[in-house]
Amino acid sequence: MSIQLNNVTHTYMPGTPFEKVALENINLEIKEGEFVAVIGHTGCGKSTLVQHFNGLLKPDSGKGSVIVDGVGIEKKTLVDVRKKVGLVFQYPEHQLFEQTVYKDIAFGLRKLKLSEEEEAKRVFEAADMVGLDRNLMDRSVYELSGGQKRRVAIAGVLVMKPSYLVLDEPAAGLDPEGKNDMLRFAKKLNREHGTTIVLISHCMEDVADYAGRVIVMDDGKIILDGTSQYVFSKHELLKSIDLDIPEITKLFLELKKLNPDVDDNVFTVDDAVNAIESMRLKGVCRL
Amino acid sequence: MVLILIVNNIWGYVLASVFVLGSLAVSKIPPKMIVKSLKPMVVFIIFTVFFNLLFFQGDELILKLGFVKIYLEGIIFSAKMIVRIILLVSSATLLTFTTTSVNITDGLESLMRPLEKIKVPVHDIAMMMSIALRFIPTFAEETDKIMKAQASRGADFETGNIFTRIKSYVPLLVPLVVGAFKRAEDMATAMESRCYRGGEGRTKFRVLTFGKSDLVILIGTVLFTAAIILLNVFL
Ligand SMILES: Nc1ncnc2c1ncn2[C@@H]1O[C@H](COP(=O)(O)OP(=O)(O)OP(=O)(O)O)[C@@H](O)[C@H]1O
Ligand SMILES: [Mg+2]
Repeated sequence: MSIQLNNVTHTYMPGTPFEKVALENINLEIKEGEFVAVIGHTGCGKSTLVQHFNGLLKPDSGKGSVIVDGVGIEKKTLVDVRKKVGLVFQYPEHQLFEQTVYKDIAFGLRKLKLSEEEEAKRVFEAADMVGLDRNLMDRSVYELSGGQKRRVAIAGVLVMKPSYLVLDEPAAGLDPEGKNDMLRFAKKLNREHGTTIVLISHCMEDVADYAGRVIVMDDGKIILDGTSQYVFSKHELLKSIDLDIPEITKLFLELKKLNPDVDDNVFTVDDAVNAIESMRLKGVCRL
Repeated sequence: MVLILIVNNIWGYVLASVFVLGSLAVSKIPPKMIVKSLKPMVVFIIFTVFFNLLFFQGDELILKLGFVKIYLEGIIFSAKMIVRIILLVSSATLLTFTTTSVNITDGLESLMRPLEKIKVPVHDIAMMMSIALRFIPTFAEETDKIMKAQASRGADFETGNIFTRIKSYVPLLVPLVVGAFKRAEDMATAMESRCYRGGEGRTKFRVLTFGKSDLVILIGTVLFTAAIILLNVFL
């Protein structure tokens, strides 16, 4: 069970002077249960890539295919694929439209013709998942704060119980608390329900903290793909494509300049704690 | 462009075609783009031709199939319509590809300036026009984005009968309209906080100047207009 991209190329506005090859020969497999982060600077094609996962965009004709759980994406399979692959866009709060929060979350379910209790159960489950207060359910979606709206929008995707959840910068524009909530809920979903998470993020600390696998894109191509340790150890390469590394890694790289015995394989605060501990035992530093 | 609508004889068409084609050639717009801009008109053209052929009454009967009568005049008239539509669309393309919307509205504003004497809010009209033009691409982008967002949570814009389809556009239209209002509000606030108070005493950052090429085009247009009118009157 996986999302597979074979030789996918995507060109925006082909045949015009504005032609733009946004993806070039992408080969990629995202397996069930993974927590994958996609990073890359602005305009490198991250959003374009993930829109192929549920068939919103199609590879250029004759070039490549997208296969979800063994089924190729075509017109006939589109509905099923969209049920399996939930996609939350950048600033998803712009898509809300119903009179009440409850109705908006339930929007996707209407097609499934569930019983009223079943529908309510799923709506409340989704709302709990994103930490949305139950007494907001009868409010108008336009009376909510930005962070609350974002949660409603994500819950609206979660009710469909997707086995793959793609989050395009879910934390953009949220306060630190809201941002951590978003990531924690994604992690929880991944751990407890086995939902595959694909996270697009510009925050390297978050990526190092949460993602098991990191895909680095530059100019429509995948240039690195591996564990976060592997990817962030290539700091020279990342720097050459204007990407940052976690602050804590920078700190340890600086420390290494002072003392070559310092371990610079540090990407999260936990790594740092362990590194300091082992350095203390080895006598590299005194604390 | 308006001139094309008053053309009424064959020489007028020839002249107008030469004028439009000549301008297109000088403009260096890739022919591909012009063909592309004509594409959406194909259905419209077929429709027009179909009805003109069927319902145009003339003297010279060419074809008779039951109650369907096609007259020679109908064919000629349809051909004229086709040329007319193509000329209209390609000259509109010419305008939008060569002139930025800012220039168009600036130009209109200065052309309408005399109307200020009779209390027409010329500046306001021009400002509204340029804002409207400015936001068309934004609006299109927004539409695309919201459509995709709703599609990824189960909306379906393509199947069903006409009523379910109209209803399926609600999730698209509501956020779009709300977004447009919000944007208008933000825009007003932003303009006010930069002390915009309408056109009074406002100077322009980019002043339009009347250059040599403008003179050539003005003379060309005057001659063309005169020629079309003369042809209309004397032929
Ligand atoms: N609808 C479109 N039409 C034409 N070009 C587009 C369109 N959408 C994106 N592009 C172009 O394709 C490229 C990739 O865009 P994409 O949105 O995938 O970038 P991104 O990596 O998601 O960037 P960001 O981090 O800013 O969200 C960009 O150069 C962009 O200009
Ligand atoms: Mg993006």
